[in-house]
Amino acid sequence: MSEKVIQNPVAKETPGVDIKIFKHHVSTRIMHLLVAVGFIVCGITGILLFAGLPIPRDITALAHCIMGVVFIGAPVVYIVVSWKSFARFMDTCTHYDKDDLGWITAPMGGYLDPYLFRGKPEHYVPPQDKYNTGQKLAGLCLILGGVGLAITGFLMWANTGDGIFGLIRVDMGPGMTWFIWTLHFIACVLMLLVFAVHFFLGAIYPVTNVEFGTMFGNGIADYAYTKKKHGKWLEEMELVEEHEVADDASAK
Amino acid sequence: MSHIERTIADPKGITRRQTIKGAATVVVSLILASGVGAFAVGTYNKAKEYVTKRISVLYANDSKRALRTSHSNPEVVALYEQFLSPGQVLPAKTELSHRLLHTTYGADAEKHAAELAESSVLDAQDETYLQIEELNAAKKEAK
Repeated sequence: MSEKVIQNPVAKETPGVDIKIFKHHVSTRIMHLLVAVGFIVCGITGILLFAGLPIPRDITALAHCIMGVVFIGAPVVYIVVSWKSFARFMDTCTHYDKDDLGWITAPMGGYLDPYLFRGKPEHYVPPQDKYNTGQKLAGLCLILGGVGLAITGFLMWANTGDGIFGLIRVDMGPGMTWFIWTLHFIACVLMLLVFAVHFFLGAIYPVTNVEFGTMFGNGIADYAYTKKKHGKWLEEMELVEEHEVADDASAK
Repeated sequence: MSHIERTIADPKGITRRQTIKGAATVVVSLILASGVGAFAVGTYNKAKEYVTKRISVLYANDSKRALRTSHSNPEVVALYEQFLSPGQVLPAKTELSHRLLHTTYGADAEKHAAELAESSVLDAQDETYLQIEELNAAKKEAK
């Protein structure tokens, strides 16, 4: 990874100034937590149902459906409540330039350097935005997969027994059921793959697991890490607040 | 001694491009959801329409028949009187009619097959004839 020389005066390292980077708003963190819980429960119950294990299927299926609503409902509420954050996220996820090509050819942001080019000098990784190329692609996959799961899951739920609590009932017939079921399965596999990589890099991989504390903590990102990994983003940031703190108070 | 604590974050406002991309995502998602939903509901309506027509055709055909119920069908009555429950019409009450006419599906099918394997049709016939004799004797006693 190659560090960018920061030009933004508010994001520039200055002696006597402790810079805190507010990366994730509280609404983003709550939404992410709900999505994570919803996805994990849906993933586990979905695999149990798919494998046909001897479990109470009715309760498992109901838990799967209800947590599916949480998984989809949280981002929907988030879009309404934090429209600006969502719009910014979508813009970042859909914007690609030569730096993204550089990230991919690095290879994969340099993550594969130790495995593919052991003992050789590290590749140059262009400075990245708030989310790097891999995160942006993962974000797109999650949105596409999430929309796919929402649509197919809703239809699958409405297609079984009494439908959705007897309120919405759809009888799709065997052909359409198979088609919708297959789409749901493909979206699940895509999401599980993305989740596995996302979880590994965000929570386990030592170089990047600092992100876990940011998302599940107070939303403040580490400056050194951000400068190294997301230098491009630092150039766009604005001052939120600045105040003088006594060193003793800071130590406490 | 003191130092400055500075908090920085994303810009407060959003650009026109960000607004358009956010809105486009929402609109495309809604179009996809309503498109697939409408397709599924359309399929459902077509299936429902077909089933409704089929039901009306079956009822129309049925209403034109001279014999509309199995218990008023002389052939079925004769089958019971001459073979399944000799001298009587006892649907679903004799071992022979149970063995020859009833079946099960799904998870119970194997259990049913095992029951059938335990005894023969002749056993069921003997049991049925015995049952009919007992029934007739009871009737005579009652008289």
